[in-house]
Amino acid sequence: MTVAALDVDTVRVGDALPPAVHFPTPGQLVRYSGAARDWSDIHFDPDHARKRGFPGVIVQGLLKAAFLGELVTDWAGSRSWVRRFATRYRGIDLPGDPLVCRGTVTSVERVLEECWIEIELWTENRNGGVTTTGEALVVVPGAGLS
Amino acid sequence: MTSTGSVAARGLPGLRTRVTTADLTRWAAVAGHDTAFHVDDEAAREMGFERSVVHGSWKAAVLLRMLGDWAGEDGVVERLSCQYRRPDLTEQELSFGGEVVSTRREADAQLAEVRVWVTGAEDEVSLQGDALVRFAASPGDETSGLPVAEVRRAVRLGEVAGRFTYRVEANDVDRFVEAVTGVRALPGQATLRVPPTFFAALDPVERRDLDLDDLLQHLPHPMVGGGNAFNEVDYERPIRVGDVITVATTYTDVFEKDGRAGRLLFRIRENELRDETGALVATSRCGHVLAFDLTSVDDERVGR
Repeated sequence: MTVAALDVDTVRVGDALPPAVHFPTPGQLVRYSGAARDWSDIHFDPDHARKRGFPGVIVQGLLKAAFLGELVTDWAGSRSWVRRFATRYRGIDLPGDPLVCRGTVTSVERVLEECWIEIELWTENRNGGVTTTGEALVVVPGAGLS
Repeated sequence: MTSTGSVAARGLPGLRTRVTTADLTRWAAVAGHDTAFHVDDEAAREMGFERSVVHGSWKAAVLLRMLGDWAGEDGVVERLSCQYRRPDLTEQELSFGGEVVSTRREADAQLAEVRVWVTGAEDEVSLQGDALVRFAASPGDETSGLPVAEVRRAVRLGEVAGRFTYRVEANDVDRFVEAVTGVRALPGQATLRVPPTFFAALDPVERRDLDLDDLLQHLPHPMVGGGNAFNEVDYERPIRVGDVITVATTYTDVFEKDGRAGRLLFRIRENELRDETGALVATSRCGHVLAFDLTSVDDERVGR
C-alpha cells in the first residue's frame, strides 16, 4: 500500500494508529502457510487441530504479527523502516472471527539524523479480549532535525 | 543418555550391522562358545546352513550394548532375556531394535520394560526378548513426565543446531505480502516492500529444514494446545530482495512449567541472519510451547 510520508513533527506519545480489522479466512491461513512455509497442520487441518486440543484450525500467531506489522508500516510510510518488532501470543483466534489490530505511540526520540518511534501493539477478538501484544520500533531517517 | 522422566513409550535408537566369520571367531574365543558351525563355514554347510551361524549370545550382547547406550549414565540394564527363533548367518545384515512398552515408578527409580528384537534375512524376526532398565530418579522428576533433558540434547542446546542459506526472491516477498494484505503485485510492477515479519519465512524450523525435536510428536500424553509463544526480531538493516541470507539457528533454552492447559514445554531458539559478506542483518528469537495432559495417556500415541 502506498502511504504518504509520516510527518514526525506531528507524532506525539499517546497517538493511536488508525486501527485495522481483518477477517482471516481458512483460505488466507493456507495462503500464509504457503508464503511463510509454515507447515504446521493446526492451521489447515481441522481434524488435526481438534486432536491437538483446539476448536478448529487457528490463525497463525505470525499472521497476526504480520497484520500488526502492516498496521505499523502503513502508518509510518515508505521512508521508515522497522528496526525492532516483537509479538507475544496470549490467546487463539479462529478464522471467520474479526481481528482488530491497534497501536499507540509510546515514545518519540530523536537519534542523530533519525526519529525513533516506539509503538505498543495488540490485537483484539470480537469480545474485546486481547489475543496478541507486541511492540515495534520504527526508524524514520532524515527526521532528526526540525 | 536418557534421564528419568524422559522414559516414554517409544522406540530406541536401533543398530544395523553385518557380522563376519572372523568376528564370530573372536567372540567364540572370549565367550568360550566355539562350536564348529559358528566359526567354520564348512562345518556349517555340513549341518545344512549356507554359511556360519551367528551365535545367539553374540546377538544378545549387541542388544545389551544397544540398551546400555540408551540407558546412559543414569540407567542400568537389570535384566535381558532372549528367545532365539531362527538362525542368522554371517555376511547378512542384522537389525537390532527395541521399544519401551511400559514404565513404572519406584521410590527412587523409574523402571522401563523394553521389548527388543533382531531381524535378519527378509526382515524375519530371529530373536525376540525383553529387558528391564532401571533409571535413577533425580529431584523434581516426580512432577515431570516430559523428556526435557532429551529434548535439550536433541536440539543441541546452546550450540548452532543448523545453518541454512536462503535467497530472498521478489516473487516470494510478493506472495508473502499478498497472503497478509491481499494486495497483489501486478506483473511488471515494482516488488512490494519486504514486511517486518518476513524473517519468519526465513526460519529453518518453520520451514522444517531443521526438525530436531520430532520425539515430542511421539510422547504418550495427549497434546492439549501450543504453538508459538512469542516472536522477536532486531534488524541491523531491512531485508531486501536479492539478499542471500544464511541463517544460523541456536536453541537457547528448553524448560517446562505448569500452565492452565497442562504441563508446558518451552523451546526458545535464536536465529542469526547474515548476508553474503557475513554482516549481521537481523537476530530473531522465537519461543514455542507445547502443552501436554500428563494425567492421561493417548493410546494412539503409545508404541508409535
